[in-house]
Amino acid sequence: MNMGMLPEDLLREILVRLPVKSLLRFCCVSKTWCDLINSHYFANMHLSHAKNHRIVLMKRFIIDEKKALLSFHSDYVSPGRDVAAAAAPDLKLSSTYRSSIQLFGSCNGIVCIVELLRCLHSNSKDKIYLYNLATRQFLTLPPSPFGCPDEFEDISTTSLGFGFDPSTQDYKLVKFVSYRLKETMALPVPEVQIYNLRTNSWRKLEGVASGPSAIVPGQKFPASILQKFPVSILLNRSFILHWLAINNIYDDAWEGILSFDMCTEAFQKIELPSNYTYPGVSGYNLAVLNDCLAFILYKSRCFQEPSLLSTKHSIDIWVMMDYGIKESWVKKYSIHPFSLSGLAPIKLFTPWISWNSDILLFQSVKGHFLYCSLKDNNCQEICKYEVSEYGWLETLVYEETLVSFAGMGAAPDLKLPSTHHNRIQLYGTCNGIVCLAELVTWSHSDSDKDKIYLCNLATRQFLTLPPSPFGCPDKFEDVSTTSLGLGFDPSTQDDKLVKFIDYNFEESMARPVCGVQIYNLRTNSWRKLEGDISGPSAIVPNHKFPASILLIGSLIMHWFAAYICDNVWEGILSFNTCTEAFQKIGLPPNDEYSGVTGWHLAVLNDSLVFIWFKSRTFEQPSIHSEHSLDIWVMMEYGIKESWVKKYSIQPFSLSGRSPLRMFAPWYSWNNDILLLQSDTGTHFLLPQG
Amino acid sequence: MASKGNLTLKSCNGKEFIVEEKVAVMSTTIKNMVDVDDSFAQGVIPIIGVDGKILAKLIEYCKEHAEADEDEEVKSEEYLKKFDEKFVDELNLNDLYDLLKASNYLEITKLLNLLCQKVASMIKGKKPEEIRRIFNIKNDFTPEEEEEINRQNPWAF
Repeated sequence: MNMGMLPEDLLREILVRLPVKSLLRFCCVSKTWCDLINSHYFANMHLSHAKNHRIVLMKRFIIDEKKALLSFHSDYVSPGRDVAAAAAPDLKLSSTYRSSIQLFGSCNGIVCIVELLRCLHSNSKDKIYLYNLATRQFLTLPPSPFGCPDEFEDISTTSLGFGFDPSTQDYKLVKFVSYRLKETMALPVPEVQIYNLRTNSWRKLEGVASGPSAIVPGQKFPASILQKFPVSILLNRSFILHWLAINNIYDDAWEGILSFDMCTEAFQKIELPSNYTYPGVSGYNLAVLNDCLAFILYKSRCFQEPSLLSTKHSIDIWVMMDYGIKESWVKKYSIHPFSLSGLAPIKLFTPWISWNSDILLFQSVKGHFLYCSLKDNNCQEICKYEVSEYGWLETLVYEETLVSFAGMGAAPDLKLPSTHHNRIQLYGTCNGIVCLAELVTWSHSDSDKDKIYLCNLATRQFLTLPPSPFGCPDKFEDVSTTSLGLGFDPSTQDDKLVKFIDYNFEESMARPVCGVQIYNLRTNSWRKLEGDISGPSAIVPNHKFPASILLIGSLIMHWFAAYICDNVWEGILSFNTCTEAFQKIGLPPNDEYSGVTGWHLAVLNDSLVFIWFKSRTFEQPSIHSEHSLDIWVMMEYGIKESWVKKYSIQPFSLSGRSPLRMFAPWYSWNNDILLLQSDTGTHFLLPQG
Repeated sequence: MASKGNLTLKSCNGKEFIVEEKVAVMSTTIKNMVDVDDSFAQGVIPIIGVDGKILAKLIEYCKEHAEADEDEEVKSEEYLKKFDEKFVDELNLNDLYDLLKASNYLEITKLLNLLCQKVASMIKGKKPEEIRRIFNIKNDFTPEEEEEINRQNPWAF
């Protein structure tokens, strides 16, 4: 067999049809193959063929020395074959008696595994894992930062859904939480939290208290979710999760399907067929069949036959032919009655999975694994698995994919050596390169040097800069690095790093002497910037890292700075990466600013902006702080008179005390949105106006 | 000269095939030629780089599928599935390779997918060195690099 002269596009067409295991093995064929197989582009192409690599995943649960052992098996889908091949090695997860490890669905080959804690009194959190079994990539999600509010006593997670948002190419996890007051009849208060894989962070979904989202743990109407994990449909390029939901409290009882659109993050109610319920129905379930919602009802009865106990079951399947249209529900299949050995399982047949257009698979918690053919309306037991009393059998249909968490844009964590007095901090970015540094302060010894790293998170390229060769001059006793700025010089096509240094006399009141050093990436070397130390360069930046503007082919960095020598000056210090000249820029008038607690410099629409803010802390009714902001824009670069107070942000409050260092740094996300943060870890999105 | 509704396809070694237009236009490449230039519909369409044997195979495949597209009653999905299976199973490796290239050039998407799937199932269990031989690829890794890559996914071997 020789396929030697195959064009590259044909070769790709062949490779995307291979299972993940073969592809991982073929990484070592050549560098070209390795790069192709590991690329995000190829993973996406492969994903579109994922239906060819479907397997049924069985989860069994064994308690072994307080460890829960999850075993994953793929299974063939035909009756009479019960050889379950291991799909992935067993997973050992720590588990306690108060928690249960469960599968919460899969999406694009990523399985969501959750150790769910119920009724939490303490600060312990759910543990959520994402696992691509085909590539063995495993990710532990950060716990949700939102704990139980003070006014409640416990918190429980009622359901989770995992899915993909095609509009942002991001994976999301939606989590339903309810807060409760113990030993009262008060209804639980619901909340929906969302995790984004790309940003690796949690946020609360607002507006849960009203609208259809109130159906599932709704503020007024607590509801139990009957379906453990949602069935998902890809509809009009949007990924929609569905739960069977019930609200049986109050007069407006409602039973139906709750949907959540991964793209718009909107909840919707979908009605069940009219008069679906009839005497003898012992349970129901939701599934997706040929891209349509299917509602499954079953009747179970127990018989005491002469020698053995048996149960008889019959099943009706309704299909919603037009998505969202209640009238389009059709009772499409009635499965012939069938029997199972043993007692009717407590929770029969959950979850249901559709293997293809003709076959549904389901299971009982007692370990029956069943196969339902829609062609001849027959149902048959494939096999019965041993199940432990602590965790039941769970199955899901899973597609083997190359989808990687690392390819999501979020870079892997970086581990850098750090000591307790030298903290690693971010010092800005330029053209996709992030500057990270651990700066020395009050260093006496020459061996103490700043550690500066440049890193491109997208390509994972990492560079440790050589330490500056310039130590502390003899007449001084110690040296501190006060600020750094990373910029690009378009004239030489070189990246430059500017470093501000203070030389201090120990035990004297003499002012520190300033120095500026410059590192060129092209030459990989440091030099001192000569010049008059009384000139503008003697102004010490008061700002952790600069705001940069690209101006007439020059990148100019700006710091908010103060001059602390005889003639006190406060303003903006600029550094032109091209000419390496410093300039002073005056601040907007600040006459009306009594009570100002802070300021900041940012760039908005290529203009310098200066932000004043006032913050106050209140103790009543609960501890919170109130803030107001004024944003000044310098309309003509460098002209002091052109400062205009363009935006005044309405006062807003934050929980907790006024943060120590409020809102630094500022980023302009686009023309209308500024992002800011406080150093207490609260994050805000602040639309202008 | 083809009668109306028929096209004449000529292989690179001079063999001529008269086929119904609906069969020939299963190939997007031929469809575009006929759509753009009417003279192709009248005269002979040269199929560059495809010999008579392979062209006959292509026509055999297109004929079955064109008829099935026209009348689902006569040729069911199941029938086509069986036909496809038999079609690829009867190919020897040289023909498979030639057909793959020809269906790529002529843009017969259905057949191309079928052939790619066939090659994929043939190679999925192979060892990396066999793959290099099949696709005539030079191993440009050093032994150390190769070992390092293999260490990342030991279960794949």
